[in-house]
Amino acid sequence: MMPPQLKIAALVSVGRNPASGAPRAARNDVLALDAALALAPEVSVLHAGDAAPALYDYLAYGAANVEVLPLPAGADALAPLAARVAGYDLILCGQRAEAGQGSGTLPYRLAKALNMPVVSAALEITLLGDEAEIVQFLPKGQRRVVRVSLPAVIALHPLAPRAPRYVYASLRAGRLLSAPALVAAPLPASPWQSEPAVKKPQRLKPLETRQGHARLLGAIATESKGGALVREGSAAEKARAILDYLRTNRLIEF
Amino acid sequence: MHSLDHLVTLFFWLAVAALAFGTMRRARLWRAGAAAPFNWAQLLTVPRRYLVDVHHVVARDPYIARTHMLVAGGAVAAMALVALNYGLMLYRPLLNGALVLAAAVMLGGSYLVWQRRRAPLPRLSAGPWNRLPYTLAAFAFGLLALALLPSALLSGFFAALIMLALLAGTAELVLGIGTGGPMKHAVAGVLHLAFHPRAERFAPRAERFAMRSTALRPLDLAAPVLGVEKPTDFRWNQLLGFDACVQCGKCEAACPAFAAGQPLNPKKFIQDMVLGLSGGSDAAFAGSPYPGITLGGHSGGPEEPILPALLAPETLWSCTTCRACVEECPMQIEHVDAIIDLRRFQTLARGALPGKGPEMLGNLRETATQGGYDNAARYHWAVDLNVRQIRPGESVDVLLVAGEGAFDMRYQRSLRALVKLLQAASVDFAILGALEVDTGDTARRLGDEATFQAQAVRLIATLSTLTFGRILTADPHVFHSLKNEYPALGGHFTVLHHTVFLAGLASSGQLKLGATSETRTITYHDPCYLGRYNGETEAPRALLRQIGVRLTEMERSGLRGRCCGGGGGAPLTDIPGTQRIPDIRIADARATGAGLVAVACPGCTAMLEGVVGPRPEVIDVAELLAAALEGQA
Ligand code: SF4
Ligand code: SF4
Repeated sequence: MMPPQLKIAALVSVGRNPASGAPRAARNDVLALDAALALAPEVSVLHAGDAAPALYDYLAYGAANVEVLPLPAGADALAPLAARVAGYDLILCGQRAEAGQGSGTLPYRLAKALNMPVVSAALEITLLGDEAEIVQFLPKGQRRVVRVSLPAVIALHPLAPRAPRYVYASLRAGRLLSAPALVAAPLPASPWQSEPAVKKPQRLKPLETRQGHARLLGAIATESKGGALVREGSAAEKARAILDYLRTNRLIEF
Repeated sequence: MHSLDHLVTLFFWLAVAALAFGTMRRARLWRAGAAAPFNWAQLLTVPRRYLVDVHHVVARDPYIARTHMLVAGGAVAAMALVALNYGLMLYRPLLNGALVLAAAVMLGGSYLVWQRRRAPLPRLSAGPWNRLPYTLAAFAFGLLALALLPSALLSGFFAALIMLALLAGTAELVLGIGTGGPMKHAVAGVLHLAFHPRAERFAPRAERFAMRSTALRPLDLAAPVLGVEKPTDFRWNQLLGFDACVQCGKCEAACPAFAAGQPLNPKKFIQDMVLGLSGGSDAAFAGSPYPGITLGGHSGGPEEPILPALLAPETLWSCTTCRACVEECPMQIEHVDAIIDLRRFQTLARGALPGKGPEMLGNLRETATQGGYDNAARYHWAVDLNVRQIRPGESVDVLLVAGEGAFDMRYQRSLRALVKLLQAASVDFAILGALEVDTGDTARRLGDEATFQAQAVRLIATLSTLTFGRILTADPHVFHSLKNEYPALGGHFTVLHHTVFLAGLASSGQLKLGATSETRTITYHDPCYLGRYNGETEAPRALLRQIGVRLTEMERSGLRGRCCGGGGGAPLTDIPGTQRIPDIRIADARATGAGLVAVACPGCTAMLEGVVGPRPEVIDVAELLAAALEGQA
């Protein structure tokens, strides 16, 4: 028999759009919320951090309200979340955040702190009494069905086959609730360093136009590969020579 | 021997009572709708609206225009005479003479109705409509006999026969409104003309030309019901409008979705809304069903949700909002407004938008582009053209707004041609560039008023920091929303479509055009949002004439052009039919023998170019002009 009312929590974060960087509901967490709402009419939707406007999106996706657990900047979300969801039967979240560290370790750390099992890469969840049956994502189209006894932490895979609906009326009806501040520890020292990404220049190579025989000959000969050395002339003339080269080899299209 | 006359008087007053009672009964149904302004004095506008605006549409089919003139004119005159002579108990032979004339005219008209219905067009409804020629003729015949033959000469049997004919005819005329019969259209039609939801449609010609009433009303995002869920959420005058439908099917014949076998028929849609307001099932509908959906499976009532019991979602999302139905409707019914009202509820209150719609809306909210692009890339098409990007504090005459087409490699060619023309004409212009955000137009057609208003507020705020004279765009959808729909949200700009602007430059001589080198037969496809929405059919044609193109027009062109299938977010919701709308439109073009279709909209370009197989080439007017610029090699 299914217990009459499971206590289900969905953990949500602030994501970012990959093209614009605009804050938004993290797609993976939206799937977790949607899966949670499919399992129970009442779900505690929790966010550790600031009451960011992007959280309103979760209201649109069906959360009656989002409870915001205040978190000082740079602090670890683990402790406040663990304290808040203690006693819950099922804790759902996305597998990985879209912003911040995105290390994907929170479900594991949370499960450890609460002494619960954790299942990641969940595509579908079915409740069977005090157990949950989960279809797990495996690479190359494979799937695996696992069972876990509740309480448990389940992380949804980004490809979970769900169709969450964005409903403005529900956004309008929902609220962000701020919970009292809890003690939070600073983030554990990260073994990672961050540095700005550098775009490596790519060498433009003219298309090979020689026939096969000539190419093979070229491989054993040591003569020059063609081209010209421009030493004379003004900077503009030199630039023109480069531009001509790029154009004749169709490396640029204007 | 006045007993027959007295009987007629009695009948007359009974008929008046029945008409009044029936009208009140029907009015109860209308009044269940939401509030809308009401003023009795509006009734005075009816004759003008009928004789000018309704006639303008009906006259496209001269046969039915004549027929209706005879039947309705004869009937109204006859009834007025009966009211005078019998209602007021004058019993003057002279008035009877006039009555003979009126009844004869009506009888002639009834004959024409009968002729028309012997081999009815498929767009016409059968059912109760088929009895109309007979009941109308009975009425006219009864009056004719009554007025012509001295009652003294009549035998009892003959008198009874006349009374029976009169009774049958009168019943048709006066009971229609109360029972929902065909003659309902007379009463509802008159009231609908008076209390039409878009009074601006009937403005004097000059005003109407400056601004055709096609903008959607802004939705109050704090309203308890967002859009329309059940029939009573429509405003009462919209409900009244549905009741005015005569099931002539002109909308059906014009609808591109219906032609493509998508499950939409605007006539059936209006009749379904009538069912919604009066309650019942669609089994008795006597016209063409929605393609692919059998009759009898849908029913509704005033307080019941319209979707999905009365209307299938696929029907709602098939519409391209092309307004061809509205353009053709003699009763001036507003199909598109009703469809958008329903969409608003589905999208805003249910999130039930099919296909790629939700993805596009998410993109708009997050990136201000429909395709989810990096908005900073919006001006990349112009990066090598030496075009100024507008900056706050610098003033410019013409501000070019590119629209979503800026991300489309095909449409970039048209935009580049436009820039070439502007440069050739030495226009002082700049692009909005990376400051540009989507107008939200497509979101609005899909019912997402919240996202539309958010985009509009954002774009208006950007534009208000800039100094420019006019806005120029090559996208009719951008043109329509900026020009007609932004004012209601506080954005007042002078907006021009590129064809209009270029036509001005060409006629003033600022843009020097040579002759085109095109030798193929050329036809022009009118974008709905330029033609029907904004009345602009002449400028592109004038431009093409200027470069020596002799257009071969398609059968459906100008204000009555056929949609390319790209409007209203239809490519996103993508409801399957038996054909694709752009294929039909290309077939239209082929029928003219055209080797080239000139277009003036990125949506049309994309839709028509998407047609596979050999087809006429699709080229924007701007590209044709740029190729014909004077003094170029
Ligand atoms: S607007 Fe166009 S697609 Fe929609 S119902 Fe009318 S004719 Fe059909
Ligand atoms: S809606 Fe208008 S065009 Fe369509 S059937 Fe009714 S009256 Fe005719």
